[in-house]
Amino acid sequence: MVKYLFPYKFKSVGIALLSLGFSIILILFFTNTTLTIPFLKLYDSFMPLNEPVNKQHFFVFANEDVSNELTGILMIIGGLLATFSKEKKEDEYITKLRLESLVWATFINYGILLLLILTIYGLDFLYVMEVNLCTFLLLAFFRFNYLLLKTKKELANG
Amino acid sequence: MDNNLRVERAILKITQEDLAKQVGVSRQTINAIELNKYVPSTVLALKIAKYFQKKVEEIFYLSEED
Repeated sequence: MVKYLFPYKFKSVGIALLSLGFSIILILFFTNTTLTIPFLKLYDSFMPLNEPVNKQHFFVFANEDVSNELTGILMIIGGLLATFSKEKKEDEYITKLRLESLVWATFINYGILLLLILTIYGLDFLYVMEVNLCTFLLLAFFRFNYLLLKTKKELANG
Repeated sequence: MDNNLRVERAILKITQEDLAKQVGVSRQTINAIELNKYVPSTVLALKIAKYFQKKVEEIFYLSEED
């Protein structure tokens, strides 16, 4: 049995965080707004023209659009909790279904990424990388829950 | 690997749910074993055989593909 799983109750927390993250992405996308707040940055490469070149830019406060950070964190933590929490009755068959979903998600995720590497160039590829941060977890989550649903449907039929 | 779990269950007149509870797995697991979609671990096979008070080979046996 897999040892490194969160307790069952975290699954709903994960799904809630995923939904919240996805809603924020949709709202920001369709309203074209940003979440710009002063933010402590470890390093800022931006140098205003009136400053000496050798001035340090470590630990600076700067206005920053944090929507990517916020949604990224929500999607990653939500995805991890939703996919890697135990089921109500976690046993060896359920574990096998989860592992199979992970293999499936790995192939699909990197298959799509390979296609995009060959078809999207330059700075546009940055968007691909951003989306790709959480697609693996999302694919694994949906595949695993699809398989669970399928086995429950077989129960109803059998 | 084939099995006659469904037959053994019918003899004792117990449901998949009952058997699942007795050996500590989900109902989906028992169903998947009966449908030959899942080969149980040795531990689970031994637990099932112990519950029916039979030898493992009397419930689970190799099929032609194995």
